[in-house]
Amino acid sequence: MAGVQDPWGTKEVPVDQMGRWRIGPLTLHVARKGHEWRLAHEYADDPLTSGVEVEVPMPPHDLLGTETVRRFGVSNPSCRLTLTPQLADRAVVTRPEHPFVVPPGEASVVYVTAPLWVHVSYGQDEALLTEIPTFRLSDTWFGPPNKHGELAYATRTFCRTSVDELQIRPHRAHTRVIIENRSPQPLDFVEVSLPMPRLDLYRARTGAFWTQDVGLLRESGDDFAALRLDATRPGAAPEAKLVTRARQASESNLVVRAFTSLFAGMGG
Amino acid sequence: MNELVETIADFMGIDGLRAVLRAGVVFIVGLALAIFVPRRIRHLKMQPQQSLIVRSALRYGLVIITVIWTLSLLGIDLSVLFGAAGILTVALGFASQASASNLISGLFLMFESHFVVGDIITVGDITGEVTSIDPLSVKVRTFQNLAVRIPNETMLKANVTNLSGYPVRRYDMRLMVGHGEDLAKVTRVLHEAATKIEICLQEPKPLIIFQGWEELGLSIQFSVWATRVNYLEMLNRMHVGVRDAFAANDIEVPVLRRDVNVTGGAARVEPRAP
Repeated sequence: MAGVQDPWGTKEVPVDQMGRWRIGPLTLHVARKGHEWRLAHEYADDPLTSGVEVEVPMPPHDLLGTETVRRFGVSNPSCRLTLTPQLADRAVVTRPEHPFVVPPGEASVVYVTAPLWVHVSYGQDEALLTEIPTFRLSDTWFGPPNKHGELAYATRTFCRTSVDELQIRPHRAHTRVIIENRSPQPLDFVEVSLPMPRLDLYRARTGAFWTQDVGLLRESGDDFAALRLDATRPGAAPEAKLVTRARQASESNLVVRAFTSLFAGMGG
Repeated sequence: MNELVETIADFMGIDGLRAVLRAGVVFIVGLALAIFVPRRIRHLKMQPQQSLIVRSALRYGLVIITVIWTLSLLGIDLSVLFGAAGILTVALGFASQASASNLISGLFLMFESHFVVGDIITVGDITGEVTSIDPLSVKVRTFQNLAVRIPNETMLKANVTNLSGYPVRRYDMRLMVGHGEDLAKVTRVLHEAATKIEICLQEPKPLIIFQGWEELGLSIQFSVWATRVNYLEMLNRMHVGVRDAFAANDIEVPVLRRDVNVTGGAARVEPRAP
């Protein structure tokens, strides 16, 4: 019963049966026992591995020999298992694969992506079992290596400047970043920290996931940049519907952060 | 009741009674202040140990002032008491020099706040978790689960390294590769090995320093970062990862070999098991 299906949503996993979901590089196995759920997962080597597959139910095999297996004891007899897409639980620091410069007085739009997290819940009231990233990103430290920095995930981007160039992947969230350089100096886009826990997740009709737009503004002679989280729907997919609310509410839609925190190592 | 007051007044005189009443008021108010004022200190932003010291000093200071004031109101000559106390202080001072030194060192340690309870510190050859900072000593639980008491005076004089001071730490790995190795390849392989371990931080970037040619090969310092929580796991995985990466890329790790030549007598050689 394997096939290209939508991996998100609710499926029934009968007792003593199991299911398999492949979402990009993540393969998730879930087995339902009398009073427990067993989950195991593995990753492909390439974070850009694409495609989805769902096989529920499938012939059971023993997950206990798997290195990543986790058992969840439950009293609820429900066999409903729900997979919900979510954004990362920390900020994601994105670095361009190739140097990217915004000349003085110019504005540029770049599209960046980050892996989704899978929120696994069960039962009618969708009680949380666990959360698993579709790809485990490397850790990185954003800011000075003291108490003022922040633990984040690291990823790289091709900095696509047109949505047509963007290869839509079902396991990644896409963000449109609008960079405006009002400074007389060129702006080397070295890295940007996207505050994923503060972003909402939307889904377009095409199945692609989007966050709301993020605006970065460098004022003339200013050492600070305003990071603006657009309250409206994603600019590249205005018809997209809200799927998951942000993990953390922003105090306002305008978040001002230190420029050096947004673009580490920014050149002249 | 009036008879009782008149009897006491006759016995002590009216001035004596006033002095006793005044002394009583001072004593009660003083003790009340000594109890309630230190409690207010808890609301100030201080480390728990600092707060304890300040509260204790305030409480005992207020009690001493209250007692002295009360005694002076009662007309008791304090110079005799002070004289006796002076002699006692000198005697105690000689007897408890080490304790006094530790006590004062403890005060400095608490206000310096280089470490707090729960931090991992290294003092000399002792490394462990700080379980308490007391007036005379710091208690440390080592990783061998030994309870170690370090006198505060020792702590003040020694170099104390706080391993919990910052949220990220660097590990300096010492490596050696053969003389003939391609150094660009070694650099690439090391960076790839660091990238494969997701708990190795990408920023601050891993650092490679070629430290010089030695008898066996080229000495390299490979410095990688991890969060404090993942530090031990990262360094263990990094050693395995680097060894595997060197093996997969045919990078030679030189080892000291000894050839033994037997020049005289007979040597018995046992064949190695297949």
